[in-house]
This record gives sequence, C-alpha cells and structure tokens, in this order.
Amino acid sequence: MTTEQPEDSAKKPFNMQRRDFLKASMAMALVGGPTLSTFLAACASSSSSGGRGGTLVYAMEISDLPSLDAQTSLSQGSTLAQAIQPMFEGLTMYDRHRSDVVPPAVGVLAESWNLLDGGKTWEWKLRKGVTFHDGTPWNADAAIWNFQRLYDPKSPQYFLLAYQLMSIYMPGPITSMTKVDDLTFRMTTNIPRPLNEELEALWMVSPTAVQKLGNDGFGLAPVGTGGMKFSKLVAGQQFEMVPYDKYWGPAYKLDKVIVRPIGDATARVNALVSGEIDIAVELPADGLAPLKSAGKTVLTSVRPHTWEFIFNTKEAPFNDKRVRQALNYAIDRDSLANNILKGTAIPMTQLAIPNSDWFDDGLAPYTYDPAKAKQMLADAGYANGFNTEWWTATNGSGELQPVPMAEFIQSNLKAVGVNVKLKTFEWTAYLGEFFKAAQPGIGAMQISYGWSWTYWWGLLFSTEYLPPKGPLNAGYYTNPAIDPLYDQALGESDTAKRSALVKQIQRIVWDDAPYLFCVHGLNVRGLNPKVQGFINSKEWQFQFQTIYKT
Amino acid sequence: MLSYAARRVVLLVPVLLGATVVVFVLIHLIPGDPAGALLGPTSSDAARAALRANLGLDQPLPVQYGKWLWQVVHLDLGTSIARRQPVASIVWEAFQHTLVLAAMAAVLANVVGLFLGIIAATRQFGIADRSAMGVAALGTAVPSYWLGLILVVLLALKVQLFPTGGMTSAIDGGSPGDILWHLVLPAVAAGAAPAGIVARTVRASVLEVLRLDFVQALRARGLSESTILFHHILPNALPAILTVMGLQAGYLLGGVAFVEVVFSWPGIGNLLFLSIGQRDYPVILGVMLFVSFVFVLLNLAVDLMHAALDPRVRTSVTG
Amino acid sequence: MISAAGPTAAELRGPAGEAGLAAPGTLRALWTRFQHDRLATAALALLGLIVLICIAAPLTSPHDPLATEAVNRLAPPGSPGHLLGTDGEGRDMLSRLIWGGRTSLVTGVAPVLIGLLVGGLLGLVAGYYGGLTRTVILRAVDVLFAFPAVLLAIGIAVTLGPGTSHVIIALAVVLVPSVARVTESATISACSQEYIEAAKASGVHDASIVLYQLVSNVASAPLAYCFSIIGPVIVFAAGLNFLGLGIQPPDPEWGSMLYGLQSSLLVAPLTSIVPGIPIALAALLLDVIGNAVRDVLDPRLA
Repeated sequence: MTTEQPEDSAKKPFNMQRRDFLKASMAMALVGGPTLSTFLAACASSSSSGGRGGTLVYAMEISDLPSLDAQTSLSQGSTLAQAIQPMFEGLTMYDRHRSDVVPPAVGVLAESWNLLDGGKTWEWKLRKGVTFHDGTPWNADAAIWNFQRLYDPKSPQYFLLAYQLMSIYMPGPITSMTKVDDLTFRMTTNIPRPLNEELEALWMVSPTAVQKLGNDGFGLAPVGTGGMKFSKLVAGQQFEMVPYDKYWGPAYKLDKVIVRPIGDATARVNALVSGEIDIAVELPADGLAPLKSAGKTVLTSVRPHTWEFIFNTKEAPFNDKRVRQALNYAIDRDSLANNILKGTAIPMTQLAIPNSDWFDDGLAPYTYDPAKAKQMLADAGYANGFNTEWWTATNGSGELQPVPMAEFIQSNLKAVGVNVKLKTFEWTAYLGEFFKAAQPGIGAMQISYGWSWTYWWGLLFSTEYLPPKGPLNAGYYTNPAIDPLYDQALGESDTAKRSALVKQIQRIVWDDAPYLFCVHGLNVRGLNPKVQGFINSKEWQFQFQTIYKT
Repeated sequence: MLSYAARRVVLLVPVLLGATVVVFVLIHLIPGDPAGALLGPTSSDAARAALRANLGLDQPLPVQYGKWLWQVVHLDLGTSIARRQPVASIVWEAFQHTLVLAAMAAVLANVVGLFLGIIAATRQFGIADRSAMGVAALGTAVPSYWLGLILVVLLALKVQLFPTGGMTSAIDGGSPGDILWHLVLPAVAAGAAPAGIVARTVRASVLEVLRLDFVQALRARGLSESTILFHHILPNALPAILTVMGLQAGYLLGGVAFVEVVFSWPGIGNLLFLSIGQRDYPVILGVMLFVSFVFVLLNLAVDLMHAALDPRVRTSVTG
Repeated sequence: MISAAGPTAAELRGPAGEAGLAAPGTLRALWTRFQHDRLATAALALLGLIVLICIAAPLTSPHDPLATEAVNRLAPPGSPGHLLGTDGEGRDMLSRLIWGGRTSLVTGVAPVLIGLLVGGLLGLVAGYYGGLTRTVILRAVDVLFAFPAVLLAIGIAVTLGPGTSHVIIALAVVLVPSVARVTESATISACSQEYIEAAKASGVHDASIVLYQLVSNVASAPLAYCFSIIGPVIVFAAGLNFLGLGIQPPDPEWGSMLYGLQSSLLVAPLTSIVPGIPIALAALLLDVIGNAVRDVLDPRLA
C-alpha cells in the first residue's frame, strides 16, 4: 500500500469531535462554536518550520473551467469546491488542518452561535474585521444577502440554479432572517436543523461583486473572503489565485496557486510524472506505480466514502428486496478492490468505514456467493435472470474508475444471469441526470458519497427527502421504520446513544439493500515531493493554507 | 477571373443557408425536449418555457427556423450549459487555438510532404522512392490518435522532452516559445496523414511533368538537374500541389479534433469532445455552425487560388 | 485521410469514361497483372486472413471477449493462454481484437457501401438528367461539403446518441457528397459518348439506358474512389469509437479498446498500444492494395 498518514489517532471514534448541536438546542443555551484553536495551532506548528513561498499547480478532475461561483460549484460535485476553496469561506467549514480525525465543522466566518426556539432559530455571531477581496465588509447584511440569493425567491438576487444545487445540503426553507446588529443575525428554519454541519459547503460571495458583474460574470471573476484572491483566468485552461493581503486569518504561504482542469485521470498522472502539476487527487490504480517510480509522493487514507449502484426501488425487478440482496451476493468486492483497483479501495462490508463509531461489529457482510445469488433470484421468480439498464459516470469527484469497475460488476452479474446494459455519461452531465433521480426503466444509478455526518442518513433514507425534495435518494428507497430512528438520532445528545441509533438504521438499510454496495475508496492523492506542509485530511478536500513549495 | 470570383461568392449564399438548415435539423434530431437539451438538466420549468416561446417550439418548423436564423445572424448562438457563457465567444476562443495547431500541422505536413515527394519522384523506383513512399503510406495509415498516444509515452513520459498536453505551461506560460514547445507533438500526430497525401501528390505531379518533352530538351541544353527541378518542373507541377495542400489545410481544421482530445489542446475539437460529454448542445451546434462558415470560406480561397494559377479551372467550373 | 473535403481535382477529372467496367476477360487479365505486384498480393492475402478471422470470431477467438479475470489483469503480450495479453479488467486481448474487428470493419465498410449506393445514385441522376435536377442535387451536396468531414460526422453521431449504427449513419452522410460528385462527373463524360446519344435518340426508355449502358460505363470511377477511402474510413470510424460515440462498454471495438487502455499506458505500454495495430494495419494493407489496383487499371502511372 501507499504511504499512510499516522493512523494512531484515527482509531478513536472520529465522530466524537463533531458538534453536538442538538444537545445545545435542547438546553436552549448558548453554544460556543468550536474554537479555531486546532486550526490556528496547526498554522502555528507548520509555520514554525519556517518555509513559505512558491507557485503551486493543482489539477482538478474535471475537463473544463466552469463558472467559479462558489454557490454553483456543486454542479461539478465537490471537485470545483476544492479548487476554489482558498478564495471562499462559509459560516462554518470543516477543519481540514487535522489529519488525525475526520475534520469537524468549525466556525470560520461565524465566531459562535446560539440556538433559540428549540433549535429552529440560529443566532450567528459573525467574525469581526473581515472584508471581501473587493473591500466589501463582511457583516450581517452581507450574510443575509447571501442566504437570500439562495433561499428567497422574492429577493432580486435570487439565483435558482444556486438554490437547486445548494439545497441538496440544506434544503430549507428558511422561514425568516433578521439582523440583530451589524455582526449578528438570526435565521429560522421550519424544523431544527444541524446548520453548522449543513452549511459548511455554503460559501459566501461578495454582494457588491455579484451585483456589479451579474451571476455569469461573477463566475469569471469570483470574490470571496478567503486567504487567496482571484487573479487571472485563461479561458478553458487555468485560473490563478494570489494571497489576499487583508486576510483576517494566518496568511497563506504560497505565492500563487494555479488550477488547471484535467478531467482524464491518466492525464493527471502523466502531468504529475512529467512535473507539469504539483498536486492531483483521484488517481487511477494503474498510475500509482509510475508515480512512485518517478519519485512522486502518493498518499491515501481511510475516509468516509462509499461507492455504490443505487437500485431503482420504484420498479421491478429492484422493488423486490430478494433481488437486491441476491445481486449483493453476486459481486466479488475483494477482487474489485484488490485487483481492479489494486488496493486503492477496500471492500464495503457495511456503509460505515472501519474504525468509525458507526461501525457495527455484529453486522454480517454480503459475501461473494454466486450460487446463493442464483438461488435467491430463482426464489424471486427470476430463475432465468433478466435484462436491465444501468447508468454511470465515466469520471468525477470520488468516482474512482467507474467504467472498469462497472464492467467488472457487469461481468459478475452476467454470471448469475443478470444482463446489465451500461450507459455512460461525463461527470457534469451525469450529475445533472443523477439529481433528477432514476428515470423509469433505469435499473440502477452509480454514485459515490462522502458521508461524515448524521444528517447524511436522513438525506439518503428518510421519507422527508424523497426526490424531488432530496435529490440524493435517486432510487426512491424508503422504509417507514427508519424515519422515527432518524428523528431520534438527530435529537439524541449522547454520542454513544446516537451511534447506536445510527447503527439501527444501518441494519435496516443493509438488510433492505437499496444499493449494490461496492467499495470504500482510499482517497488517493499524488504530490510533487517539493510540496511541503500538506495535511492529508480524512475528507474529500484538503486545505491550501499551510502548503508551500521548496 | 473577377467574374469567376464573383460567381463563386454569390454561390456561397445558398451553401451557407443550407449549412444553417443542417444544424437546425440536428437540433431537432436531439432526443427529447430541445429546450431541456439546450438549457441543461438543472434548468427551471420557467426557463424552459421561456426558451420554448423564444424558439417558437410550438410553432411550425419554418417559423422556428426563421426565428432561430434571426438569432444566428445576430451572432447569438445561445449560452453554454456547462460554462454559462455565450457560445459565440467560447467557440471563437477555441477556434483560434485550433487554427494555431492546424497551421503548424499544415506547415509540417507540407514541408515534409514536399520533401518526400520530390525525393521519390526524382529517384523513381529507387530505394529512396520506395522508402519515401513507404513512410508516406505509414503516415496516412496510422491513426492520429494512436500516434499521439505513442508520442506522449515516448517523448513526454519516458524521455521528458515535451509536455504531455495542453497549450501553455501553467507557470509563466503563453510565450511563443512555450506554445511552440507544446505544439510539437500534437502537430506531428496531426500532420502525419496529410504529409503522406502531399508526398504522393507531389510525386505524381512531378513525375507527370518529368515525362514531358521539354524536360528532355532542357537536359539536352546541359542544365543541371537541380535547376531543372526547381526552375522548370516544380513551377509546372505547382497548381496541383497547392490545391492538395489547401485541401489538407482545410481537412486539418476538423482532422486535428482527435489529436486535440489526446493532447487536451483547447481547440474546437476538444471543445466539441467535452461538450459531447457534458451534453452541452448549444456549444456542439455552435461549433458546427461556426466551423462550417470558416470552412466554406477556406474552400473558396483554395478554389480561387487554384483558378488564379490554372486558368482552365475558371472555364471548367459550372454552376 | 477522407481526402479533405472529398475528391481532389485530379480525382474529379478521373479515369471516367475511359475503360468502363472491364469485361470478364479483361478482369482476368487485370488480376494477372495485379498478381505481378507481390507486395499487393501479400497484402491482399493478409487482409483476407484478418477479415476471415474476424468473421469467424466464434470459432477463432480463444476466449469469451467479455469474461473478466481480475487477478490476471494487464498481462503482457505472450503470456500463457493470452497471446496478446489481457486488458485492465483481465479480458483476453486477442479475443477482444477478433470480436472487436467485426465491429470495426463493419463500421468502416458499411458507410462506404451506403455512400456508394446513395451517392452513386444521386450522382448518376444528376449527371444524366442535368438541368434543375443536377443543380438541386449538387447544391445539396455543396451544403454537406460546407462542414469538415470529421466534425460533421461527430455532430451527427452526437445528436443521434451513442451506438454503432449511429456512427455508420453519420459516416455515410459524410461520404455521400464526395461519391455523388465523382459519379456525377463520370456520368457527364459518359453521356457525351456516342452510343448513349444514339440510344437516347432511338427512344429507348430512360431507365434501361441508365441501367444497362451508363452504369457499366460510369461505375469504375466511384468504385475506385470508394475503394480508396475504405482504409481512411476504418481509421475514422475507430476514432469516433475512441471518442466514445460508438459502441458502449463492455463490447469490444478497436478504437474504444484503445481509449479504455489509455489509463494503463504507463504500466503496460505494450498491451495498451495493441488495439491501434489492427487499425493501422488494415488501413495500410488497403492502401497498398488500392495503389496496386490503380496501377493495374491505369498503367500510365506505374
């Protein structure tokens, strides 16, 4: 295997560090946001090494430069967000300065927050002395303006596309927003929501800049509050960021970050090998050996990630649990992970990754047992198998190597009489299709998720989030037994008890098999050895702040 | 000559109109709702309804065509779904990059083709002729995308002489030298096939002239072979050679598409490839419309050049 | 290479009307002359062999082209049991090349045949009837010439959606105009010959003239042209598959195999470039044969 970051602390249940927002909401007391101590400590520790400077070239795993607007970046999955992350900040963000645990959400543009009204109203205390790159002050007005852009159809800045995308994480509605003072505002939702987690991907844009440039124009010259500001765009080829000298936090160490779109995974390996780029993620299994022999650093980590096919449970044959289970017995996950993916992934034995506090030691994995699969199919009335059409992306964020993987699965399933016809899409187009949920006649849709938080279980399995409201549950799976458990879990303040509830949900889901469970990816990142200060976070994204080049 | 040129220019009008019809037909061949296809899967119902009204999708096809043509005439090719920018500017940007690559490949193809062809013709049936024609045959047979892959492995990865793709270096890129460095491999991959074709044409044309009586007369007068070749034979063979060269340059405008994909060259071929993946129909159709216009003009230029060099053409071309 | 926008000026002037379709006796003479070109004869034999192997895929392919063997992925050429190695999913390369050859050859040849039929008919009609008919047909042909062949084919294939039949249609549309032009000019020069004039004057029914006299006189030009483009069209068709416009996974095809193996170029370079070999080889063999055929038909150039 590849260079592993120190794993000792990963043995701790990572969920311990997460914000216990409902404990707070029940007490209706002030909850101080998690401090930035770890964040600042990390900065301090790496700055003690004294290095700084350099121009870093980062390759994103999409083929094109889309609009750089932070609030529509989800149209590219999480890929674009990673690249524009130095320019933008949200009220909260994952603290990616930590590699010991799955990064917890910490206050960034919010210094702290209070929960009122049983958790339905959040009072945000904003950070002082923050300005956008164009000089616009960060304050309650700017914050409210941003939320109106997403959630208030009556506001002039309302941007439907951004709403459609961001509502995947925080569906709303926001029933009211009020400014308390210049640096305090309140936000009320119809039900208690874990907003500190849900809003971590909602990054703030400069109202002045959007008003001046328009939505599409803003996408060509984005303005945020982050430690780096946009400096240059070469259409279709690259964009550049340089340090923002009035940044409120510890200064970025790099002199410049250049981002190039290189959608083809092999092309990213080639560019790393030849030294044209410094960092790339989502590298193909066959690229690792050449990278290492070219002297490049390859990092992996076990992080919350699942790669699966979501069955269309609305229609035959996948409305039959026996069929879904049968298929789960028909695929050879070990071979998929160890041969096709050469150990850059581990077989999925349950939804939770090993070492997480949701991991259920008593849950039996689906073994590779084609004979059993055939028998189960026969019991379900499909002794002669059936034909079905499945859709998958050809690339994309967290997608590993979808086509070879899908072809391998296709060949496994053929052995039990299930003939899968594959239809492939480029990532951006695929996401567009995926967010519309499975079409009639489509048996399954492939996707990968990076679920770190309790609310993911609701987004994917609770009745409330059935499409079109919750576009992530593409297979229309529900089970009435899950809903009360989920509500209970959200309201549970005790971490161990909440984990027990999540485990109960997982048992139901695992037995219902709404997915063809496949693998957990190991987050392969490739680095030019000149890159210093890189923190191998256990999350999809990493941060650029501590990085410099020698 | 002038009246010939005028006639050819007038004839362009129906051709260009026809090209717009072809693209219009393609829009309607897209399965599903054209408004949905043109705005993308995340578009709102309201936006689709607005576009449907704008394109007159509920009206008869000729009316729709008229409305659409009106937009095209105003250089409004719609908005890219993936980039949310006007298609016209995206296509124009990419086209310039394609032009650079196609021009470089054409220069390479013509120089190499001319060289090989002359060698082959002047040493007909000799080893030089056979090897030159062998190289030409290989050049035309080897798929450009395959050649491109091989060049990347050998000259960008095993021996790191050239970059693996792109048009400029990320850091301080964009100088003419930098672009030239990025051009070498894709231009060789794209130019191989046209080089083979040019070589064959040059050989055939030169041989044709060599058979003429006046060459024997020149030799009899004691002129050196190189004088005969460069002052008498080549000028006579030139019209046919130039025509093929022009046609190859035109071919390269589209032919570099495969190479652009292999080398991520940010031209129209690559744009088309990305847009296919993104189902970005406005860009796909915009590229086709734009390139057809350029291509028609280029073919016109080649024909006019041919006519200027070879008066027989002017009279032989009919309506 | 889909010779730019179509036939060159020289091709348009062409051998039209000179020889016509040779009588059976002359065919044998031509065959004898062709056999004198040993290189071309060998090329023909090799090409014939490749085609036969592909046609007989169920008999000749050593493995199931879709059977994955994940533990044995990217085996190099020459591995036991896998003569040409295995691909990224551990499927036998040779079997995939043989089965893929069927698709590749069909996608290369079918558009030429369709182009020959449709383009030939249009050219014949245009050349024979002249006047308005000819103008309309030639203008329509000009419109298709307004697009670079590669881009037009991509555009059509994209709008039709992925699939082998769609690639064939797209390529056929691109080929029709050049065949039509070649046929049209051959028809015009054939029509000017005396026996056709005589037949017309004697009041023989139009259709029978066209069928029995003209076709035999005109056919050699479009046939020769179409034969010369089969190789480039095979390369072109594989290219469209390389772009993912044709066949869908897991079915094999040379161009899509090449694309699929791109990710393995660095770890298994030999295996990864293998699918390009049959594409180039088929094009090269067809080129050699085509040149020999042209020399045989037109000895002046030899």
